[in-house]
Amino acid sequence: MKKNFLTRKKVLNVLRITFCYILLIIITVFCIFPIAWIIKTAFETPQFIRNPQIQWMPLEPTLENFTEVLQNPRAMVGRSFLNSLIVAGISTLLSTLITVLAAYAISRFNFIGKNFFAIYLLMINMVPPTLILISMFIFLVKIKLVNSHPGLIIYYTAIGLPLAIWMLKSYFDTIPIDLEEQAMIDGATRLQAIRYIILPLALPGIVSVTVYVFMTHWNEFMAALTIVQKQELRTLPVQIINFLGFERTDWGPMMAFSVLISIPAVVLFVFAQKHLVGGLTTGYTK
Amino acid sequence: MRSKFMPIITILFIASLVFSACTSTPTAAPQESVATEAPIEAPAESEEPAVTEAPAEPEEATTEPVKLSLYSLAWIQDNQDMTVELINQFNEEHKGKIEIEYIQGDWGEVENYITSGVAGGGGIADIVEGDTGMGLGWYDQGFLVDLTPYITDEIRATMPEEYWASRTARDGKVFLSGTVTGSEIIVFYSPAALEKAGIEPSSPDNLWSWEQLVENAKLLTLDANGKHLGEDGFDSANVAQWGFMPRLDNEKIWEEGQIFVMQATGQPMIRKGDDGVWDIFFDEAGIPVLESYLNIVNVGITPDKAIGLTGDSQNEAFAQGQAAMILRGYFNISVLKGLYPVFEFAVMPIPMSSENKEYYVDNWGQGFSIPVTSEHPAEAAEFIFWVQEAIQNAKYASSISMAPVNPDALQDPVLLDDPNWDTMRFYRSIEKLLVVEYNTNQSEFVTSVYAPTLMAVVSGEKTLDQAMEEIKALSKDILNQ
Amino acid sequence: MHSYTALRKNSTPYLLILPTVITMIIFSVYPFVSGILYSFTDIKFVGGTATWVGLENFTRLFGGKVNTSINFYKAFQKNILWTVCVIGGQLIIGYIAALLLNEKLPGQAIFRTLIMLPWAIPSVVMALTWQWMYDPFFGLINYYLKELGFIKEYITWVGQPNSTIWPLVIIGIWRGVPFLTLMLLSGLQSIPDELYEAAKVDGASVIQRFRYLTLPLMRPVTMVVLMLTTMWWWNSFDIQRVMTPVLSLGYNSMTLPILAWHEAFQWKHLGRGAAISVISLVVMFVFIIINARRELGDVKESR
Repeated sequence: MKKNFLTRKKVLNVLRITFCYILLIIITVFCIFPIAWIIKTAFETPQFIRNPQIQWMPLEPTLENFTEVLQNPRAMVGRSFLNSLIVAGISTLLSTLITVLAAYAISRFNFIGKNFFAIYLLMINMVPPTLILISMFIFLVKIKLVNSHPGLIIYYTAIGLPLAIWMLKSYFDTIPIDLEEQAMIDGATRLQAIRYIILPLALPGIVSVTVYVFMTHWNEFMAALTIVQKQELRTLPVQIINFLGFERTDWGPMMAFSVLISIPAVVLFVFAQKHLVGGLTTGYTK
Repeated sequence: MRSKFMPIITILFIASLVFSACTSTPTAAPQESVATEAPIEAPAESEEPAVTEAPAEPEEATTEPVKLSLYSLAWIQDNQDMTVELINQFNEEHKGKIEIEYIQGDWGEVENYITSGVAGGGGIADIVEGDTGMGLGWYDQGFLVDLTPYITDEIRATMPEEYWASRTARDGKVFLSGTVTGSEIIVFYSPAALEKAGIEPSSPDNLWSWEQLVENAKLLTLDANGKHLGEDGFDSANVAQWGFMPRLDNEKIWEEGQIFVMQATGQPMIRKGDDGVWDIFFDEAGIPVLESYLNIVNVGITPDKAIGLTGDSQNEAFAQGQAAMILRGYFNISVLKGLYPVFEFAVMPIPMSSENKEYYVDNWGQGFSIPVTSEHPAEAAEFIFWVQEAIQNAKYASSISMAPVNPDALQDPVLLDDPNWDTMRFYRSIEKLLVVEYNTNQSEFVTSVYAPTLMAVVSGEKTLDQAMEEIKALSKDILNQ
Repeated sequence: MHSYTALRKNSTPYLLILPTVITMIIFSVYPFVSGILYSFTDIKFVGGTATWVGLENFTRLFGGKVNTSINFYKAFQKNILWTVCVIGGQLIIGYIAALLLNEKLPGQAIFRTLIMLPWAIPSVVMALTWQWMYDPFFGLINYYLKELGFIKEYITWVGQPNSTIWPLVIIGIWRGVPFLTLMLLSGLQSIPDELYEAAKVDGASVIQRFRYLTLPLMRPVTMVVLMLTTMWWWNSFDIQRVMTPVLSLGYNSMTLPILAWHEAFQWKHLGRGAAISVISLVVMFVFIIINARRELGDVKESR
């Protein structure tokens, strides 16, 4: 009797786990099949790309598409890669710097207007980007920063701030304030306390915010499309659309280009994933 | 944490820098190979850097050449190559004086390019390719230089007055030069398919009407067993070859539909009425044509998927034999030749109204403009009107396979020896140019009202009468904003 | 709450937030306010003259039969449909994924990474990829749907005047699942295991445990996530913009941000584009405020 019960429970458990795995696999497939398809197309020999028969392994794997993209003067991969790196890199650095200061202030101090400031940062999320973009564009035109990297960098820095501050503030909240107080009682200046106690402790949070911000800037499309028109200043997301061309679509090189664009963000994401998960979630749900 | 993460970021950063450094050199890399393989190398990649960088050394002592850049909208490989070739030729002829650099542009982006460029106070090309519609819009916004001072009598004579008219703003100033013109569309057909069905293609002596086109297309619509549409046992679920496959989308249903209607009515559809108010007009003579055109899917000679076909897929279907006839602009000759070098096709005129054997086209055209931000408009003008001369114009027209603005260019050997240009010469012989005033609200009207409503007719959701009524209800309001 | 005793009465915080405030005033408050101002002018394009026209842009948008307002109402409805469907889909799939990942099965780290991966892909790239997958001739969606017998003939799914919004909704769901899974998963992980153990001892079934334990405990997290995603997806732009060519506006799949962009930059009615954005903002604002109020009220009562 007892034996029977146990096996039944075991069977049920196995069934449950199988069911879980099946569901998990379905969802995972849903999430990654487009990515698999990008990679497959990117490595496929051009003549097999438009194959009415779908197959998931490249029939004849080749790097042809990559060389095509890299050598096509129209694609300007290297140049726009550099542009993206400059714009996303600098704006991320600026964002992070400003963010750390502000987040620390909100987390550690009580000051007049603090609540208003915090709520404003959250509410600004709901303003349609188009609205900001329209007036931002006019403004950048006025100060002659349109069609330039500084213009884009400034825009990105500003756009990335609210969420970043909000996230980092919550992360700072999790670090006990006593630690600093203790250090300051022991004779450390505030700056030293921040430098030697807070920053090391908050590093995972700062890293996750930085990665998140960098990913957002690296992937941003609408502003990059509108603000920068000079071909040699374009960032990758805009350049790939430009490369798409008029009435012609070479999916092979296009997907190869896509792979190239995605690599930095994906690699960063995979490496930072653990911290990103922790950092982001403490940010939002607290 | 730090020890793990920082190196990764650093490595990534350095790797990407190296990567971009490596890949941005192709402009320089071919230079080395120029010496050995230059003659065979495509001019687009190898010659340009060689030419643009060479003058720098010998010129040091004398004055610097004026440096210009040209934003090209060429999207066909041949046309891109030809534009570069013409620029190189021009640079060669003006060595030490003018030096033009090629910038690859895009039709979808040019509007933004010039808007933010001019508004942002420069940094964009000195010469921007455009068409009459966009050009007028830009000129009205104050983006373009008035070209009138640079137009000598000699230049004036290189292009018919109607073409000048479409390049002239309301204040009488010319804002665009001429390269090609032509809303001319043609029917591309597979000679093998027509021969097999025993059909004579349309020709200047024996022009097809819309009824004939539909009848012939039925014979050319074959199922997997080789039975044609209308035959007993024809399997409509299993069509192997469609008779007629134009592209049916927002753009085409307007552009191409308008050409069919104009051929029958001799009037543009969007124009000012007698009361001087803009409107769209569905003239009596044009309605049967519009009806036949919008009915092709219902009749069964055109597949559903022609709705929203991309130009690319259309050519693919044509080359694979899934379509016996397609409808396309003249430029598609270049595209098809580039994509499918061995595929055999021929072209014939569009179906024409039997009473009105005249081909009406508007005077739309392409050309080059000079943005107001240019510091050297005179030199830029020198180039754009040089391209308008017959020899250069013929080359340019041939590379894009669109009609040259310069009438002498059609007689240039480049175009004279090509049978595909016969239809164009025929068009030209019966062609009447309509001087169309451009309505700046046309884009909004077409994309948001005209095209979607007529698309509903194609898909059978609305009758043409309903659609016309709906369009009429809104047209005046939009067009006269 | 932290103790602020030692740190009060100090100008430091103001110095620290100064850079943010300056940046915000120039690049967020100013554009925001001027955007609202522009919506009351007839400015046509950047650099054009702006004349004060009062409420004209708004009356034209709301005013009955003219094309502008027909488009506007259509886009408005589509925007609601779009937001509801995308977020609904994301929430369902995200919840299932989060619950499964929370089971701590072997290999869950790999599954987690894979499920999160779409998040890192640039939106432009994913839109292109989906465009390629929706290709009417060689796309794999058509291929599989036909193989499985759902459709008889290949269909052109996107980018057409009459194409529907559903293919785009699928993309939206795909795009948003990683973020929702992530947030919900961390919410689930913060529920102490003892609670489940106790419920198990009391004989609650899996479904009962989910209904009476997980859902109520997850409510705050879910609401925060929902509000954030609603704000984002209400304003989402990239997917439609890339899936639809500039010259042929996807009429039946047009949402407010797309319409605003077309009005502002394609049709040269910058003021009207701003007006559309302002309305869209007000609607979202009211929605969020109502929800936030209710949430806060609930929280207070429960305490």
